[in-house]
Amino acid sequence: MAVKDFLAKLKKGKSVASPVSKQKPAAPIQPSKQAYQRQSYSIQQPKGPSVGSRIKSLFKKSTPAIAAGGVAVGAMASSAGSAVGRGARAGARAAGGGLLGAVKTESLMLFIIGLVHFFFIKGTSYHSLFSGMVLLPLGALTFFNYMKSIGSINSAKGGWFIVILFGVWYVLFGRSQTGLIVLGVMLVIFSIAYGLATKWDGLKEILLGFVPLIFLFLDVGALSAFFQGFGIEPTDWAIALMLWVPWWAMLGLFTLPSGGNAVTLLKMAGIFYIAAVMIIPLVSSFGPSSTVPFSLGEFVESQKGLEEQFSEKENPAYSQLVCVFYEQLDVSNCVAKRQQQSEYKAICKSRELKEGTTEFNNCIKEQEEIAKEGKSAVGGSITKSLSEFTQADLSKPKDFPRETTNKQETYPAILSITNPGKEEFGVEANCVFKKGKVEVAGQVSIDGKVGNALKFNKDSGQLRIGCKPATKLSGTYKLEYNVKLVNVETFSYLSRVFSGKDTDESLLKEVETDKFSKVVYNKSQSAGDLAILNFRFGSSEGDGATVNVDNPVLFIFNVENKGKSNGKVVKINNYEFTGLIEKGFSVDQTREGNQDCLQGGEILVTSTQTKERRPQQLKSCYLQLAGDLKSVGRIPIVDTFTAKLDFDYEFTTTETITVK
Amino acid sequence: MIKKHLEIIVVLAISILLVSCTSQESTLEQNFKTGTPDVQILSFGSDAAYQEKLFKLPVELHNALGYDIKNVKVAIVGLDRNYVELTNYEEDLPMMEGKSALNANGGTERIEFEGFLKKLLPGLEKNQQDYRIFVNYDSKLEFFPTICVSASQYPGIDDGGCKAGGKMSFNGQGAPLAVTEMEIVPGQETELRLILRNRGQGEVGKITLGTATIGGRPMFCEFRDSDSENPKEGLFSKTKTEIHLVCNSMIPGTASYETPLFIELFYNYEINFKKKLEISK
Repeated sequence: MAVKDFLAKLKKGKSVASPVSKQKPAAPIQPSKQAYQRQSYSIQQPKGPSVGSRIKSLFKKSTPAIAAGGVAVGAMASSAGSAVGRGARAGARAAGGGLLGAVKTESLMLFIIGLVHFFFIKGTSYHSLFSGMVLLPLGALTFFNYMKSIGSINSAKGGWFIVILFGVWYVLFGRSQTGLIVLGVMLVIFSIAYGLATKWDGLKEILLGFVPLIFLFLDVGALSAFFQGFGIEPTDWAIALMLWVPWWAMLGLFTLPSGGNAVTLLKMAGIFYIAAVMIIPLVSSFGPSSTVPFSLGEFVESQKGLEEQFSEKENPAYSQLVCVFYEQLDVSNCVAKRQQQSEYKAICKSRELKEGTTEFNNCIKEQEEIAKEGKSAVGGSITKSLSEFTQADLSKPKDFPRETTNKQETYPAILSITNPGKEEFGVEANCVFKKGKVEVAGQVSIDGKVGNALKFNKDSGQLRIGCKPATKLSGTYKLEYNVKLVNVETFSYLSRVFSGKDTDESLLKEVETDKFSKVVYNKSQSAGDLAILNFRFGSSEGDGATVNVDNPVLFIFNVENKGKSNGKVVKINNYEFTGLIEKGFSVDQTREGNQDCLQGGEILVTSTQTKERRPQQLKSCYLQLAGDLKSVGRIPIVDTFTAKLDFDYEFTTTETITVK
Repeated sequence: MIKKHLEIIVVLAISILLVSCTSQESTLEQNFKTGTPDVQILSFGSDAAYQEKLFKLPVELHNALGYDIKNVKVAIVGLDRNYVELTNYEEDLPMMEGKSALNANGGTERIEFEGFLKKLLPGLEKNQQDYRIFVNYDSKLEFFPTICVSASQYPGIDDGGCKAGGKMSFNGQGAPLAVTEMEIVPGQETELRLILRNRGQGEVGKITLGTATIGGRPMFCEFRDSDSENPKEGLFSKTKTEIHLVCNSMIPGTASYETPLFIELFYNYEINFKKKLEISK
């Protein structure tokens, strides 16, 4: 069927699948040399059913919705094939082969499953598992078959060897360095042997074997892990690629052999999507990290950080699409505005405000004001110079009894603490067993002693927190642990250079170059405690290190969660900017701001307010400078200010247990 | 025996004496106003210290210029006062002698900055302070070659005098600021085109024209293409690495002759030296 006929029938609303199904199976005729060169993969298709019947059989296996689209694809492809077929028999055969390729089961399956994975599984706890166990084998199968079909490789043995080798290293060798060396040696030996046996053609197969692995790592967030691991600030397009590209679906899409208009359109749409995603300007702020995660799970965790940071924004591709239609004259501004507004909406929704209400609108206005005044630009970073910091993690021990016959079993959780500074803080533990609306209180023991609280002041340790139900259990329960660290202390410091109207510009420039050339030095520095206190002061624009004493000096602080993913800052007990107070700074009461911004007591905080990488401002005010800084002479003054924070940190973890 | 070798011993002794004595140029004859020397720091304090201790930062300054330097300001810049508290961050010296017949080595001054190293922040094992010693001074430059001038516009014609006109290069006048090139355009109103460059490691501030004479007669001079609006002042900038000074003078007679030129330029100069101080617990 010609393309024109097909389009005409589509317009009339007739079924386009039926003529395809009526086609007779094509006879297995060897194509001409010319046709072979044009569509080399066509001759590799097995002898058998016609294009139409192949399409039909394919869509029989698919869901109805997919099948509908697939029929259209098949019909269009068939139409194209018929058009070619009118010319020469061999040509038609070649085109028919292209159609067969176009509907390759694996490619479509990968495309569809990849999309399902992107929309429904990505970001859940099954992300890395699904990606590794389902999409990697399917992706490898699809990719190798595609490469075979276009004649790039004759066999996929080398490729499969790499994928399997990776699986062996990951699962059996537990990602160990020894395993990497052993398997690396095996890889080299195999490569040489296989290369010799295949006259070096096999080396291409081996190299192509890494392609599905690259897609696996892209999907699970290797890019974000890379950026965070090396303390690199990802570029806008890199962030967009990390968050908004369904990598596996794209592999499926681009391995769909060309041959039909629908396939070409889909591929163009895919390219357009990637391009749209990459050109959206996004803002990023990352601090340096000391480790590079290497497990798929850790990659996923690392990507979660990015997702937390950016997922509140509207999908940039969607913003782009809407703006192209509605704001043709100023698309870039429109996209930026939509992105910003979507972020503000998310912040306001997190405060449990309903969209459309006056409170919600006021919240949006407040966010706009904050952005306008640069008040949200308070970043902090963790310095390696401060070696003593407190970290903790609540985990489940290996001997955790998920299933038991003991009606009053003691269920353990392990609180691991590193506290090299031997700071003293309290530990309070609670637990509860939940089954529907029924709650059974748990009796807590710490290291075998009944009681739910103690003081901890060792340099490190593991506390075994036992939870025993108060009454006998039967059935499946959710066991919820709450472990709170009380009165944990942390401190931060911030360096600034003060200048005035008489300050020598060349001296100031040299100081800025020597001390504040790296952006990170402009920010407050903290040890890697569970939470850090970020603060800055200076001009209201940006967070530069130079404070012009002749201008109003704005001060802002926030608290940022730096603990593990199952922990959060629940309360600030007190905060004090000791360095500023001791050196004679005070709150400028003639200007707007929180009068208790330099020193204060209890503040209850939400996890949104203390979100890692993007905590919200807690207090702000204008400062009265210390007496000796009110006028700075020719020489700029460099000073460092310390601050301390006392906070409560809570770990929550839930386990499912079954009592038979 | 001694008598026999007396002559040889005497000859040897005289030879030794003669060899030991070198022909030293008299300092009076030496020209100290040559080259492009800079102010130097001969020594400074230790680059490592411990917290909670008194701290001394001695700076020994040497004026290697062929001129005196005045209004010398030595400043310590960039030390974080949360770690190092100095009693004074800047010291003034009214004057430091340059190299001269009376002081062939140039003047040397020792300044001592005193202070206290504070306690490091909790958790910090050490702290490194990057700082700079800034030296700022006022000085001058004298340019006094003997040049050949001619009122004739055709200096190539041999009039029995000297060869007037053409370009000349100079390797400095004993200061970081230097006249490096001069072109003489002969004629009744002879024009001298001088190029000034900063050959030092620091930065030249404002240059002010002082006395300018040719053969003892005043000359009219002004800076061209300077960033300063005042034609009697010259200013370097990031993009301007050379400054042009143009002088004009009426030349009497028609024959060429040699005559002393004297141009005096006052300038401000700043140089800094990067240092480190590591404070340990």
